Amino acid sequence: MSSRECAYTTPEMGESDGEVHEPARAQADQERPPLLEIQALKKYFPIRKGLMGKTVGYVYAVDDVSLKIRHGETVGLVGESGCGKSTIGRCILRLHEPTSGRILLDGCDVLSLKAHDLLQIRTQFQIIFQDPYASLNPKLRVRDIVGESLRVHGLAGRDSWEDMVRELLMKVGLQPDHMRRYPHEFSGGQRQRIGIARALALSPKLIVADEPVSALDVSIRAQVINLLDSLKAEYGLSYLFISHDLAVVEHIADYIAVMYLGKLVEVASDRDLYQDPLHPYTKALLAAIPGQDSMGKRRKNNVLSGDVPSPINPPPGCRFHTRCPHVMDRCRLQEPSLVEMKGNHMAACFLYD
Amino acid sequence: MFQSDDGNFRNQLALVRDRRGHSPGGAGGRTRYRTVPKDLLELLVRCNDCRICIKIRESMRTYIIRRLIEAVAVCLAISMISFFLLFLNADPALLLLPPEAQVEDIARFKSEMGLDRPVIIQYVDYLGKIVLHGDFGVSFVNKIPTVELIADRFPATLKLALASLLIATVISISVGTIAAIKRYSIIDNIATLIALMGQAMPLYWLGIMLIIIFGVWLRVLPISGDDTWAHLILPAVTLGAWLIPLNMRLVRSGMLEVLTQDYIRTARAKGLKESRVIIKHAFRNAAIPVITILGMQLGSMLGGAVVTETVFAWPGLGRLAVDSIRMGDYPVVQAVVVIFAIFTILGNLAADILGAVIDPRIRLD
Amino acid sequence: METSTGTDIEREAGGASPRTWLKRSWQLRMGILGGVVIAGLILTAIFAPLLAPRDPYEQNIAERLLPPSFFDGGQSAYPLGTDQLGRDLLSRLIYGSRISLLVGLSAVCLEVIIGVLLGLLAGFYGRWIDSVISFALNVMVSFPFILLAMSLVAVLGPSLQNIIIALGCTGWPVFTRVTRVETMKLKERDFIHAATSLGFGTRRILLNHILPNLMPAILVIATVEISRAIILESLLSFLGLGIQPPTPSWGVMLAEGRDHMLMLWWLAAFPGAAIFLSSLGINLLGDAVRDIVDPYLRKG
Repeated sequence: MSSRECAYTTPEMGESDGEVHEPARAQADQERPPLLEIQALKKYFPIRKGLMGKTVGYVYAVDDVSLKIRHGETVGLVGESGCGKSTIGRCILRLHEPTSGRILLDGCDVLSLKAHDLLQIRTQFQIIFQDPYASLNPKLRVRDIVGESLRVHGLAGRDSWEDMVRELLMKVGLQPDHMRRYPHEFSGGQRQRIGIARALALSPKLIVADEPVSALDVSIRAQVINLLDSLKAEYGLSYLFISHDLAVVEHIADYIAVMYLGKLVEVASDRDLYQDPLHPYTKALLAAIPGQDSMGKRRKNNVLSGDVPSPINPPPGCRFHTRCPHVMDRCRLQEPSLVEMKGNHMAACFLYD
Repeated sequence: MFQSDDGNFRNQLALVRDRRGHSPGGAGGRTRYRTVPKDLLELLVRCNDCRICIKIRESMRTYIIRRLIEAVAVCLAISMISFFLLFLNADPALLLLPPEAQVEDIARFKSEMGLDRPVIIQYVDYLGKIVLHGDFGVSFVNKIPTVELIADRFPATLKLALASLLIATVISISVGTIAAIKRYSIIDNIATLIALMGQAMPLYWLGIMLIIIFGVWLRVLPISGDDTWAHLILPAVTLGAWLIPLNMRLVRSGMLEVLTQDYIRTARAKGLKESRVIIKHAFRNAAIPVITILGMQLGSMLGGAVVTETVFAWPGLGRLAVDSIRMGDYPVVQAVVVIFAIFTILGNLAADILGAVIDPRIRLD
Repeated sequence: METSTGTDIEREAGGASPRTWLKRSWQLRMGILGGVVIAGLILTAIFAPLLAPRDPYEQNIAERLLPPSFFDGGQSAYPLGTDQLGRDLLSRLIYGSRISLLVGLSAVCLEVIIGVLLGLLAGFYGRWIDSVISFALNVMVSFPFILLAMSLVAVLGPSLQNIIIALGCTGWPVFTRVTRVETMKLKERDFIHAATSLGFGTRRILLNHILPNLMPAILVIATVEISRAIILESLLSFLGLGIQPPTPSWGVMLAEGRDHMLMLWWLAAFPGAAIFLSSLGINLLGDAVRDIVDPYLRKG
């Protein structure tokens, strides 16, 4: 499929290799193609050593991941730190260049775009970062942080951009007169709101939220998540919500993908995942949520042993087999593929073969 | 997330340390270390197409080889630059011949001396002579081989350098240590004052004032030339005094940092004598940055030597350089520049390698 | 040696709170003192024609080599004495401040422009650009600085402009070094990634996002560099390779005074003192500037 004018032509549904999932559609339009489609994405970081910089190995950060996000849908991407989920988010925005694979935004191949077209496309998806203390330019006032993109892309005139900034700030729950202040005058939660306002300025269709609440106090988290939820309805957004904490994702995601060491191990709708987790890793993650989980059952037999292996040297066969309480011989040799188990619920595990 | 390599081994580690200390990646950044095996923690990787990098700590051997190659390359570059500066300025044939030479004489002279060849060829020829025969050419002014001239002047500069280094080291270490031990005391304040004023003091003015005070008013010390040991005192004091402010501050801060560490408190709690604590533990650790800085100061000390020798009419390399530049004696200038550069580079190299060997976690930024 | 003059190294080593307050207020007072000295210097330079009692070039052979007025033989018309050509020392000193300031500021401007530009390029683009610039940096740093400056001046010819050029072209490494490292660190910060994902071009990111965050560090270094430039200019003039007489540069005056050092010490002492005090004032101010700027450095 070639890349064409991405904004106005009707893209055709291409076939994707590897694992594909069809999410349970709550409100999304059945006929429209997915907003974002990741096909067989791989991102390897080379390790170099010696005087000449010879490549001695790779960090297999993202290893053959395919995912779809429909319009108006929130997909949660969950996994331990270092499993590659943040890398996926950044690859989507082309902050990294993937080693291979395709990323289609509304049918348009993002990776093949050249500079000028890339700038246009960049208005369609935005990102919210994890660390509120590092994601805002300390030398700029809030109104410039939020409003600069408006001026650069010509979305607002010299007089109107300030009004638009004011509106955006109010939408995220800040006072308009905060415009003139500098980031260091705000708390972590407020800074994250500023980041959200900045992301909203260009009216994107997709927002990649890279652990947006992990660095915030627990009491603030709910506020920010609720804000994201309400904004989604108002702006018709889709989210890729990346987090290492299943409890956080539970509330906001329609569909959840669980990652381990660069690969997807389970993909299911919100309810399916919590009521009936299939993969042992998912079960362990759920068991690790402190307190009673909302579905009522405690799973006691799923304590993980051992350390997470290195992404430089992933275990052969199923990557999880070194820590799996239900490991079989087959798991050490063969790698399970992500297969649909029952009605839009996919898992990669030999337990269910 | 990690950062990109900046080439210098120690700076790499300093950057990594900065990252460990303040990890803006938050929870994601810090826990990333846990997924990597411990020996990989020390590995740093160079990434090609994106900005996330993990770095590899080079083996000491690779590091030394790389630095040596770099040093040689820098030396070559410097010799090239100083060689070409000559051609920028004047036609060397005109300099060598008497002013009434005719055009034909000049042309003939040029072809005899090989001065009409392309400049690059001349440079290679020049380089070849240096590397193979140690021949730096003949001085325009004195008509004797440059190497002889340099060998003649070198001991004087060496004397000056060593003497001033001795004075500077002794005073900086003693005053710096005492200032660190007894913070906010009189000595500490004096030390700070000296550091402040010393950094603003032009070296040659210091020399001149010392000459005036000790040579003219008090008439106790000789002020120029190199005849007796007494002649060494004023120049050495001048240059040493110039080196003191920075060294003293470094000793003081190094000692301060070490003295507040936990293991010093442990040693004290164990009941060791205070002086033993200082000498055995604190000193050794504070010595490291001082030694490394000394190596890096070799370069500026040479610059200081140039000035000092000029002020005191000290017959060393520095004064030779100044006189040669003034008189347009290019072979000598080229040679002195290269020699100074070699010493500077060696000093830096020694400091870097020593620092890396003693303590790979040394922090210099 | 491009180390700064202040107490940043000391501050990092542990310190007790109540005493650091005392120390900081002392630093602040020193900073104000430095500011006063600098202000005086600038005003002297600007209002030189009004302040100087006589024309600095005016020679009066009959009254040459007079000592300062508070010594025997001095005259009140020549408060600091006269030099070997009968020119009033005080007036020459006052006019000399103009030269020093001019050279100091211009040379540092040049250094900043060259140095920051190279540092941005090296830090942001990395790879081979970085290798080339880093190599050039190493070469410049290993070159014996004084010899380089002298050679440049010898090649170009001694004049005010050429001194500024020579100093500017040899003093940029310190800026490049810091800019490069800071740019590399900043490049990985999330707000730069945000700017990229918002579709900003490289030039906008460099100028509007990275450069403003570098300014504090650059400012601090620039202050120290000004004092260094002033000293170096006078050094070059002292060695005869800088500003030529009869222009009243402080370095020139020192060189002239050196010949008469034995009998007429004041000819050398006063110009040198002027250089020293100016340098001291700038350094004190630089320390104060760093103190003000440092909290932002750390916060940012």
